[in-house]
Amino acid sequence: MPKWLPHSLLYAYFGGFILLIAALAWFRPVTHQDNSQPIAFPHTVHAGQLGLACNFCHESVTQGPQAGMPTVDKCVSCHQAIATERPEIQKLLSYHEKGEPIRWRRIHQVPDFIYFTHKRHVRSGLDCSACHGAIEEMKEVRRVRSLQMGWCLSCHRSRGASFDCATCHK
Amino acid sequence: MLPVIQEQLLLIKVMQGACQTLLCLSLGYLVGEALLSLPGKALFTTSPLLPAPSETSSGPKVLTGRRAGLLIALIMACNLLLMKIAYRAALFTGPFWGGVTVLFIIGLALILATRQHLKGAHSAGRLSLIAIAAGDLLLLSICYFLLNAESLLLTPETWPFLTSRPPLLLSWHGTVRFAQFTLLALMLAGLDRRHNRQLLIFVAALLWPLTQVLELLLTPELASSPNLYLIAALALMTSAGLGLMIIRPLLQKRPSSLTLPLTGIIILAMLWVLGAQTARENTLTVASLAGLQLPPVTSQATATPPATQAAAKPETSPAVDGAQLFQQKCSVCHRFDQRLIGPPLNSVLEKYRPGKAKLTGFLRTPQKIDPDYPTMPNLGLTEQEAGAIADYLLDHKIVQPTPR
Ligand code: HEC
Ligand code: HEC
Ligand code: HEC
Ligand code: HEC
Ligand code: HEC
Ligand code: HEC
Repeated sequence: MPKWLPHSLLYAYFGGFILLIAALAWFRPVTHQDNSQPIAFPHTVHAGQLGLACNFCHESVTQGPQAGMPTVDKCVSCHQAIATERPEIQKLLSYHEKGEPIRWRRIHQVPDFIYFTHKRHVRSGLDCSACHGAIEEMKEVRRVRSLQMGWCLSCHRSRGASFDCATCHK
Repeated sequence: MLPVIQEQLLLIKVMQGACQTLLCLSLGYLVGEALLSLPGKALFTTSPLLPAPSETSSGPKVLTGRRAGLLIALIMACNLLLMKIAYRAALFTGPFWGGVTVLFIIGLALILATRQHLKGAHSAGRLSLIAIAAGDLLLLSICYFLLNAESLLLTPETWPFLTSRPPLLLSWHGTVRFAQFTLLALMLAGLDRRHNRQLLIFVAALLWPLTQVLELLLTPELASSPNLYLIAALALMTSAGLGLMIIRPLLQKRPSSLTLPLTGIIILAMLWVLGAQTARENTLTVASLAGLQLPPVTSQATATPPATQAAAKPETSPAVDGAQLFQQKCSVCHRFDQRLIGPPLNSVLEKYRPGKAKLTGFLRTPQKIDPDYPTMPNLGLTEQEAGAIADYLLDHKIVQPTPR
């Protein structure tokens, strides 16, 4: 056996794993996830300091499956006069002028084949924070629950809700 | 949380990390040694070494006495306590942790009591073999349990459901962490001048990358971050270094210094602990801990699910306080005496004085009134809230009759 063989084999072995980790880091979305929104909207100010109710902006949360996003008009009803000189609000006003909706990046999303409805959950007395965490303390909304089946199921079991496959899988 | 804890949180976390590293090293050494001494009676004593005196020259010799056992138990208790303080992990009750600690100490005592026999005497009795096996098993299963509990910290979303579904405690991530701990233990036990034992370090170093990749794959998505990958890569490089370090003396069959491998193993253990801490920092933020009811829901909550939730955070408190509501919902846009976004209230309230109903009607469905102002948005007030605010507004005028 040549003298260098064991060493180079070891280098190749560990080098391979390092490459594997690098590849993992590259391909798994978490490491380069971009949560930035078209407008840096702070929940800390609106839901925290101002204490606006969640359904002031997310109007359909008690009525339908989707929570819904506020229209630009709703933002502008305040921001016509508040903090108009700030760059973020300037952006907001330019959306208003052009009459374009703001394309917020979705952060919470279950796959298409899942039926999820806010209405049932909110009406059954669950607080938003049970599934979204303390939104009013987040400068930038981030996900704090996995939204995976195991999570849905464990809550359904412990709260006595249905866990028949067809409840959620359509 | 006490303000002191709040201020010193970083220090507490550093201390916890240090404790855990120490614990991992000392316990790993003990468990590994004990594990090896079981088949070791047959395997390793074949080398013609003097039994008792030679022990002093091999391996770290700090851990032979009973006092060391006490120390380990102490570190373990410290570690658990710091963990609880730092992460407010009210996952289980105090008596529960107490029980774990007691079992831990029993296992430790069993091993330490018999270790002297095994090392000193030529023929260890069957009894002490059994005792050491039992002690080791106990310690290992406690480690398995604790590492799973540590992994559980990464998925706070499952905490509320633990009482109804205990199997949630066990996870693949925890299992892989346990495998890593065993590898560390074997490496530490391999710190011995006998060749076949150094082979252990080599094999463990070879296996490490596998577990490292598995761990990364099994880490919950919300716990991983670029830093975690960096730490994993560093740990991998350390294990590579260990492997390269060991292979030459192994091939040349001559004993080598043990300090370098020992440093390598210590670094690896530190990275191992640091990785877990980083992952915890990613998940256990204040924002993510909100909305979990700790201690978890009791069994009767299954019958009345909404009750516990509503109790935790009343959404519509029965006593609606008009002043408070006004502060919360209206003061963003209104003052009584000056124009903000909306008109100064003192100047508009006069026309509502005759009847409260008109005001509540406006509050619930605001209309465009004054072209000078934007339209007031619908705030989604309930009848009750609107009534309370209207009362407050109309009263307010009486208290403060003269606007400035
Ligand atoms: C002033 C209006 C406003 C209020 C009040 C408000 N939100 Fe939002 N919310 C927004 C906007 C705009 C976005 C989209 C931008 C973003 O994600 O930051 C958003 C995004 C979100 C998202 C992420 C949606 C996604 O993409 O998955 C959640 C969850 C959320 N809000 C929850 C809440 C909760 C809970 C409250 C009450 C504590 C609340 N919001 C109060 C305006 C509001
Ligand atoms: C109830 C009135 C109100 C509504 C509705 C409202 N805002 Fe605001 N917003 C405020 C107030 C008050 C501030 C704090 C301004 C300050 O810091 O002085 C603020 C601050 C902001 C800021 C931070 C500005 C900065 O750079 O400091 C942004 C961005 C913003 N709002 C965006 C929005 C968007 C987008 C919407 C629509 C979803 C919206 N706001 C709806 C009242 C409102
Ligand atoms: C049972 C858990 C749960 C509760 C309680 C809950 N949400 Fe959600 N929320 C989700 C899930 C799951 C999604 C992703 C839904 C999808 O992809 O359609 C989501 C998505 C959202 C979104 C963005 C997408 C959309 O539907 O428009 C907003 C905004 C939101 N939630 C706000 C709220 C507010 C406000 C509350 C409290 C009134 C609340 N949620 C309560 C689980 C929950
Ligand atoms: C925190 C607890 C909790 C979580 C998490 C949760 N649910 Fe639910 N869910 C409930 C409760 C409680 C009900 C029963 C509501 C009722 O009886 O009105 C329910 C009801 C439902 C229903 C309607 C069931 C029916 O009988 O029609 C659907 C669909 C549903 N959930 C889907 C989901 C999905 C999908 C997820 C995961 C993304 C999820 N839920 C996560 C608590 C939860
Ligand atoms: C409470 C709601 C709920 C119930 C009940 C439920 N699921 Fe799911 N299931 C989900 C959600 C949410 C996902 C998506 C998870 C994700 O995003 O990875 C999912 C994903 C899956 C997937 C993976 C699909 C894929 O392409 O990744 C399978 C398979 C599955 N479910 C099977 C079942 C079966 C079988 C049952 C009945 C025993 C069941 N589910 C009941 C919510 C539910
Ligand atoms: C988003 C900012 C905003 C908020 C929040 C707001 N208002 Fe207004 N309010 C306005 C504006 C703008 C007008 C002027 C509307 C018009 O003249 O068309 C107005 C007008 C009024 C008027 C006078 C209506 C008239 O007849 O001229 C009253 C009274 C009033 N608001 C009470 C309230 C109360 C009470 C609250 C809290 C529940 C509240 N407002 C919250 C913006 C707001």
